[in-house]
Amino acid sequence: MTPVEALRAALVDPLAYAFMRNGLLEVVLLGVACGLVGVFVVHQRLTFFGHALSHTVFPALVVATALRVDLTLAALVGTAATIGLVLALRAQRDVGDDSAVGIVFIGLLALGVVLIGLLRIRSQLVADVLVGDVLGVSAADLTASAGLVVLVGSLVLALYRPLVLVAFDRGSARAIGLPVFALDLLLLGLVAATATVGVRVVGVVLTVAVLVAPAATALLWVRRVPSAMALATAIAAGAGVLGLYLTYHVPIAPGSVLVLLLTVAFVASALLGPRGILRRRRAG
Amino acid sequence: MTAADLLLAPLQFDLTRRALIELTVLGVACGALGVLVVLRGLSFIGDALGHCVVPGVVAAHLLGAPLALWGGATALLSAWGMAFLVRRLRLAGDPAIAIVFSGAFALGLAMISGTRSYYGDLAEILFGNVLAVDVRDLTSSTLIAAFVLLALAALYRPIVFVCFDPVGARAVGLPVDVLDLVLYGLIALAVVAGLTAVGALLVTALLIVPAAAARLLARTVVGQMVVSSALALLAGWVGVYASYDLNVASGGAIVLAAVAFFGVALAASPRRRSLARRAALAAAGRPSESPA
Repeated sequence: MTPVEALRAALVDPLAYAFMRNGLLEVVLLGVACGLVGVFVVHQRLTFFGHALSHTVFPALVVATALRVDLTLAALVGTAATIGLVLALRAQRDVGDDSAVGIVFIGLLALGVVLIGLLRIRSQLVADVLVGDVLGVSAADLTASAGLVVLVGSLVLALYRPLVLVAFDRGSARAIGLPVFALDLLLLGLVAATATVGVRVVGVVLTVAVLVAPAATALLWVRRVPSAMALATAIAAGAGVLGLYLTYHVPIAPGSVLVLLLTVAFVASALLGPRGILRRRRAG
Repeated sequence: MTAADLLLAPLQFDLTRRALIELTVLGVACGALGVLVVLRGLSFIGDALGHCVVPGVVAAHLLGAPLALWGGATALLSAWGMAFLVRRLRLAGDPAIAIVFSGAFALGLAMISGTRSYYGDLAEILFGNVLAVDVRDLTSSTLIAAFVLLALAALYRPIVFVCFDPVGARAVGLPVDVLDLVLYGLIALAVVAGLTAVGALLVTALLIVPAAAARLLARTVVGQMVVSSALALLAGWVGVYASYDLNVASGGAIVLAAVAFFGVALAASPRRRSLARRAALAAAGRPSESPA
């Protein structure tokens, strides 16, 4: 086999399969959403909250399967309930912010686990929710994801300035009369929509990685928000495409490969980037 | 069937008796330690450690090696790695922790997903199966729990001081960093002790949820530890009966019971403050809310 043929076998042949084409489109869509929202998640310190929102999708999907309602809709209703619960708990005295998130998300995860047993959900479905099923994405799933990503993208573009101001200078945002609380809620909604797409690709447990890793990695290289968004999108989509091709040839869970690639990118950037540990030590 | 039958019937089996003892031991240790986890705001770290042990557990599973040893080694390594990250990489904080624990979890997942029909094994690793607790698990959990409680008793004063006021503790010359490493290490050990019964993803709930409920009900740290331990072991027992009678994953039932206790504690708490006042405080601007 000549090198050109080998390259074609590795890169073009997989595209003959609909599941690969759908999977590739899905990871690129996820990459765009993560790039746009991730920068805000990192800056607003919403990592743990994002982790909680993605775990909420789990019981929502179990219930949706049992009741035969739309999965995306159920996931969005579930995350809205989580946001409400966490905010209500945070308003209580003697419940730390961090404990409020922890209790709600672990309780909802446990609810999902118990419902699987009670409703006798097929274990294959549970596995798909836990570790993602990007190669099982149907045309309908793809449409739902595209809808969510277009919604996230247009909201971020339309409200770009107020969102950035709230993320970087809360005091001024409040002083000039921006509805800070409403923008906070909107951001949580954007994170929830992104997490819903993320769960389909990498599963409940690893969604937090696609939410924060591309943005955190990008912010190690560039400082301006638009550049960070662009770079984060490229990193997330690149890791997704590379991961899918790798799992086409080696049979392991695609979600785990994607997240491992993102982890490697982050660690390498933390060590070698412009503000990296190795460079800083050498300079200092 | 009467209520007494329902309670006593499971007790005739060795495996349910073992499960009840395991959850008692776990409940006491995790309940007491959890008070400090909540006080120091380490819920996320606890959850992260639960994810970090997964590659070690998968390795133990694939090699047929002792779970406590491999899990323990992975947990301690990641706990101290995490402490290093928190202190050295201040630039990244939470995201760095999330990326590292996701990477570790992904590694474990990649290892196990190469094997055939891995789902059953994965579900047991993530959500636990208290009825699978054998004598070896029980022994290692008991040893770990005893060690955790002894360490807490020995270091009680300095460690509580650090949890309440790290800056003050440093000012009076306490080795805050070392005590934090000890606390992280104890959390890692508790996570490993609870792996078989509660599962890697849910084990942190035993640390966080009963302790958060106890914080609403008791004032002193010792009082909170007693209440928290009692709630944790009660939740554990409920979980054992639920997984015996209803055939649900034990970890899920245990955590749901704990969350229910938390809900009751929240409703019954004598020291509730109105939402409006807290909201007014928030509007005045809390320092923790301002982004970096």
